[in-house]
Parts: sequence; structure tokens; C-alpha cells
Amino acid sequence: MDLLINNANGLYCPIADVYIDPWRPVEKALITHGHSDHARTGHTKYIAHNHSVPILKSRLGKNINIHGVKFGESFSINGVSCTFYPAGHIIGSAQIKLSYKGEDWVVTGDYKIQKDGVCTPFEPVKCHTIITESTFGLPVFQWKPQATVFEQINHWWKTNAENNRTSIICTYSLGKAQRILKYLDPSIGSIYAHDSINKINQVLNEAGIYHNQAKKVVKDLRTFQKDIILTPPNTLKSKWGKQFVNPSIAMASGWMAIQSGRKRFGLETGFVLSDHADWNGLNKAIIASEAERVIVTHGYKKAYAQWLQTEYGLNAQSIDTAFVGESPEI
Amino acid sequence: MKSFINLLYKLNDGNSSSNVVSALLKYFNRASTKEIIWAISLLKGNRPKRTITPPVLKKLACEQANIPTWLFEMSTKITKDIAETSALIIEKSTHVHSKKTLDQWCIILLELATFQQEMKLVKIIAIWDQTTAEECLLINKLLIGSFRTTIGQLELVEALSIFLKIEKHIIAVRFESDWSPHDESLESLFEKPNPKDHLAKPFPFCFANNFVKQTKKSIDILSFGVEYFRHGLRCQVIKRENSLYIWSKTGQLYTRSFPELLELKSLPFDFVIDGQIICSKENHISDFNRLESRINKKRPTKKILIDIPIMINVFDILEMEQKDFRSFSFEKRRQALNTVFIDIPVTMPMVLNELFYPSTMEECNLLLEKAKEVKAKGILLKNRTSPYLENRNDNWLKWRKDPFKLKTVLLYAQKMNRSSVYNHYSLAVMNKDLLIPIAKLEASLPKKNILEISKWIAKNIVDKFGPVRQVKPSIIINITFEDIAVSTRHKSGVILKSIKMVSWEKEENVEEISHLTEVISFV
Repeated sequence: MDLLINNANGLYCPIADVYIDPWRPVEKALITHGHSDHARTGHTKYIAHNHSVPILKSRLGKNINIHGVKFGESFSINGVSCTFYPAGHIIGSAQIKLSYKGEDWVVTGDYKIQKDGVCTPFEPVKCHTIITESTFGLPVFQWKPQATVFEQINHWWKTNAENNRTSIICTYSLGKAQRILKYLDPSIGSIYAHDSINKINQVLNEAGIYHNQAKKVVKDLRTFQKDIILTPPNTLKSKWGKQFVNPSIAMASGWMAIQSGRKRFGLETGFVLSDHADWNGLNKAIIASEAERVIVTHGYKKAYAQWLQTEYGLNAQSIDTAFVGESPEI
Repeated sequence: MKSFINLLYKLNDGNSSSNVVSALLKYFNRASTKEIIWAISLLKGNRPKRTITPPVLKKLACEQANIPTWLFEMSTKITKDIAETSALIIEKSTHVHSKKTLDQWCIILLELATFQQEMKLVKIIAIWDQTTAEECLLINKLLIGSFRTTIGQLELVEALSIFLKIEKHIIAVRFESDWSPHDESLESLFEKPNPKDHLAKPFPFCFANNFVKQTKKSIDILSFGVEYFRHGLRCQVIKRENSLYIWSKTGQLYTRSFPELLELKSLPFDFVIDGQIICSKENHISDFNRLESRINKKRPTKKILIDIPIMINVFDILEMEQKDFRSFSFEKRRQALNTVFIDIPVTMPMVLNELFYPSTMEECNLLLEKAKEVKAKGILLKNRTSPYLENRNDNWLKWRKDPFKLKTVLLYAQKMNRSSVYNHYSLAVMNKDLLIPIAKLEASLPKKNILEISKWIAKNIVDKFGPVRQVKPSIIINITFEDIAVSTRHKSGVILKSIKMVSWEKEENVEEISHLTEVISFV
């Protein structure tokens, strides 16, 4: 019997009676990371990495029953050994390994291979079966080195500042915002962020995990002309987003790698920056896991599973989950 | 080439015309004049001949990236562009843009086309190796001849005119002539003065104000001449010293699109006339649907010239034998027009718009009522004593005929332009016992109603086709439209023009909606 199965509630381990990132309320949930498609509300007990604990408490409620674990530390649930390994996706993101009677399964959650300098870098975990994401599981998605992208972002900001234009950069509030914030060049201007980003930064700061901070946007006579503002994209159409005069708006997302992705947002500037593994990253991770069986969840899963079968001769299949990866809709 | 690529990003569709012009200007100011001439040639739509075919590009890219063709095809489903997939799948050794400029690349690609196929491929691989993914994308597009932009001639001409400080009409005329970036420079193409430059210069157009109710009462009909206006392309046709120019009211040069009118060159005198180009088999009856397919053709083929003949419906004369007529009264200009063009051969693709002098308001109303019969959009009232003024003024008054009315039912709905509500409707009428779509348009009802209908749609979906939702036929929408024409592209066999939604109601019984036969009877 499979150690993990996919049922109506999510990925389920019948022997341990535990779910991983379930999408419906369950008794006991192991959580890979704090994004809303993976950490949902309503479970009786949560188990997550230590760094995810403050994030989950802030997002799902202070009173959730949550237990934090360290990377590499094994614990047992009904005889199933359970270990968290860094996934390099965002702060606190983990791959979860379940071992029972010599059989190892790894659920990657979302991950990236690139070191971002903010979260604990990805570690390959050897196993027999790997359940992987494939958000960018097509060869057209190949990321440039992070340094190149941040050079572009700072250059764009600098040019705008020289032309007295406000720079607005659209990003997820958890994960990419912290990553961008860390590498912005504060000599160009002041750095502001939307409240949703500041809230998370504060939580992380209080927990002693992450210390870069952006200023709060306060309505007064300030014009923000040489400044940069980090915000989730859905705020742009609101009153809040419209207070900035003649801004230059950019999007930081893996989807910016393709023309149709850029067109979809209709923005003049796009930076290819993702917290997900690109094509080469996915392949490296799968090979490094030495898994014989691969189960592909969200993303271009059918194409990627077919690729793994034909190219590497792996037993690969795709399953339907409620995970969305890097949503093109945000 | 980096600045050209940046420019292309900024010319994304949906950008306003002024943004496009300022982006172009920024680029012109930065680029060398050598590069600009190649850039405007590409933006004009002069694509270099394809060097290799898309399948060859695909095969080469797959080999280089070590990727099976099925995966390439899967990827192309996402990118929707073979040139892009090919540019992205190859692992890049460099992320720094090459130092070569656009003109240098264009010349390299032109040379490449002269090599044997095998040598071509070797050279292309070498190019891929030296360039970033962004550069590769543009180069691949040029290689397979799929480079396109959405930018219009007007914006290009305006930007060049500001940049070179040369009058727009001179830029437009030279820009539209046949030239190759190989043989020309910015200087030789635009800056070299030509004694004939002034010949092409159009006059500013005179436009009519809408005829509103208050003015209806207060005007003295006896001081007006009345004529029909049609669905056509308003144009100024200039014939000076054996050259002919056709300008639209937006300042676009259309001389090449309507070669029929070159026949006017044979007339033994010079003139500038104002009129509408209409698509017509019988005199005066215009077919807007067919005309539109002509307007979009920069160089019409022989078949199109035969299938969709056009003519100019003239209603004013602005210059005659180099004498400016604009200060003359309308009546006098009309007389001149009549005298000059009275003897033109009937084969000439030109007619004079009929002018009426109604003596009462009732007669004027009768003319308006007849507008439907003669397929006009409405009538124009022109003050007999008025000179030809620039811009919009009250000397000319536009009175539209009453629109056609239809009772339709909502059949399909769609969320467009990232809207959170259903804002695009397909409306249907009855055809025997079935519903047949007659119009697809953006919902133009008050916001509150659109929201309400959108909520109803969400609950009453019958079927899904991609982003399109089929709904239960219960929302009756009353529409009006200004014109109708036969169409082979539409299921219903007709196309409607200037559709407006007037009102809506929820009704379980949809038997009351209009029938297709009723619609066809309008044609």
C-alpha cells in the first residue's frame, strides 16, 4: 500500500493518520509552508517548521494548536518517522519526509534550488517516492541568477527616481516581498510597503527571523517620487493603489518570463523572479532525490510527468490537488 | 539592440497613443540614426524575408536544447509563439545583452539569408550562443518572418515629426513611399527638402456638431442646405501638379489603399475636395462592412479591387487651381463644385453628394426619414453662408436617423479584461425555434445593472466553453443599432453597427424577442 494517498481532503498518510497541506479541515496537518493554498484554516492540530509558526499564527489565528519542529529532527507519528527538510521556497518552507518500514516518501511542497539569502536553502532528500510540484515544469522557464534580476530591479528603480517617478513593484506579501526588500538599494530612495507586507515583516522581526523593514505608506503631502513601494497586485485598483501619481508599475513573477504572461498583466515592466524551481531546478531536484517513483502535483504536471518517464525512465504520474503554485491570477 | 527591445515592451497593445509616441521619442533620442532607420522600417511592417521556416527553427532549437518535439509543442501551447519557445528553451551562457545594435543585427540576418541551408544553421547556433533570451526572441522572429507590432502609422509619423522637427504630412508621404533601410538614411529619406513637399499638405477638417433639441427649434431651415452622410471614410483628396494624396481626418495617408482614385489624376485641373469614401456597387448605397475590409488593406489585391469597389462621395471643394476656396460661403463652394465636376466621365469613381434645400422643417424631417432607405447614417445641415472652418462648429449640424430597435436575449456571457463581473454579452434572436447570436459586445448598461445581471449569470450557467458561459435564455435586452449589413463571417448572416443597449428585463418567456427574419428585413 502507498504510504501517502490523495483523498478528498488532501495528501493523506493512513498509517500515521496525518495529512500534508490538506485543503479541507482535518484532525492533524503537517504544513510545508505558510502560503494560503498550503496552510488552510480549520485543522485541529498543525505541525510546521519553527519559522512557519509565527506566520501561521498571524495568518490563521493566534489560538491555533500548532507545534513547531526543527529541520532534520525526526519524530514519530503512529510509528511513521517524520522529518522536515528545508525547501528554499520562503521563510519556514519545508519538504516533509515520511518513513515507514524502510520506505521513504518526500513531499516537496513548493521549492526552489536557487539560494535566495533569505530562507534556509533547499537540501536534496533521498527517498523512494517524491511528490513534487511543477509550477514551472516546462523548458521555457529558466531563471537568470538572482543577482542579475536584482541588478535590473535596482536599475529600474534608479531610472524612475531620476525621472521623479514612483516605482511600484507587485509581489506576494509572504516570501517574494522579503526577498526583494533585502536586495533593494536603499541609497536610491526610501522603501515603502503595503500594510499586508509590513504586517508579515513585523511578525518575522518579532520572532527574530527576518529584520529588513519597509516604511508604512502614510497619507500626507509626501509624493513618493524617488521611492519604491512594495505591494500585492490586487491593491493597485483600490483607492490605496491610486494615490500614487504617474507611477511606474512592475511585476515580479516567474510568469514574466513569457510574453503571454506579461501581456496578461498589461504592465510595461516585468521582472522574472520566482520562489519556485525552474525547469532545470525541478530536474536537478528529482535526480538528486534518487527517487524511482515521482508524483507530480500542481503546474504543468502532465507534461512534466511524461518528460520524467521518457527522459529518465522514472515511474512518474500526475495527480490533481488544490495547490496553485505561483498563481497567474494574483 | 537592448533599447529597441525595451521599446517593443513598451509598445504593448492597450497602451494609449500618447504613451506610444513618448516611448518612440525616448527611443529615437537614445538610438543612433542608423539604428532608427532600421527600427522604423520594422515598425512600419517591412519584415525582412524569412531566412528559415518555422519547422526548421523548431527542429534546430530542439536539437540544441536536447528536448523532444512533443515537449516543444507543449511549451508552445503556453507561449503561443514558436520563436519564443525556441529562444527560451536553450540554456543561456550569457545574461548580458550583446553590444551589437539593431542595424548591425539586421544586416547580419540579411547576409545570413544568402548562405546555404547548413551554413545558415551553423551561424544561427553561433548567434544563439552570443545573445540573451530577449535578443534571441527578436532574432528568431526576424528569422522566421513572424515579427509584428500593433503600432499604427499615425503614432510613428507623429513621433518622427516631433523628433526631426519636420511637418507631419511630409513625414507621412515619404514614410509611405517605397524605401529600404539599406539604401536610405534618416537624412536622405526625410530631411532632404523637396520642392514638391508643400503639394501634399492637407487643410484642417471641418466637423459638424450634433444637432440637439434646442437648436432644432431655434434654427431657420431656410438658411441651411441639407445632405446625407453615410458610413464611409471621411477623406480629403488632394490633386496638385499631377500628384494625388488621400488624407483621412486623423491625418492618415490612404493614397495606396484606394488606387481607384488615381484616376482623378487624369482631370485637367488641380483641386482639393472633401468627401467620404464609400464602398458601393450602386451609386450612393454604402456597405460599411465591406468597406472596413478595404480600409485595413494597405495594398489591395486585384481580387479585392474587383470585389469591393469604392468611390468617393464628394461634398465640398477647398481649393481649385491653387486658389483657396475655404473663405467662400458653402453655397458658393457647392456651386463651384457642381460647375467643375459636372462633366466628369461617368466611369470616374466619384459622385457628387446630392444637396437639398428644404423649405420647411417638415421637409427636413422627411429627408431624415428617408435616410434608412438610402442607407445613410443621417443628414448634415450646412449653413449656406458659412466658410469652411477648422474643427467642430455650429455651421454644420449632424442629425442622426433613429436607430433600428431589437429585442434580444442574453445567450453567452464572458468576463473580459480581467473584470470581476460578466461584462461581455452575446445576444441572440429567434431563428425559427432556435436562438441565433446576432451581436457580441461589451455590456453598456449602468454599472448597477451589470452587477445584478452578473450575479444572475453566475447562478444560471447552462454550459461552459473556455471562458464563455452559456446561460438560461431569460434576460431580455433591448438594443438599438445604426446600421446593418450582410456578412459571411457571422452565423446570423448579418453584422450590426453602433450597437447600444437600452434597457433590460428578466422574463421567463422569451417568445417575445425579435426574429431573424425581422432583422434581415432591415437589410
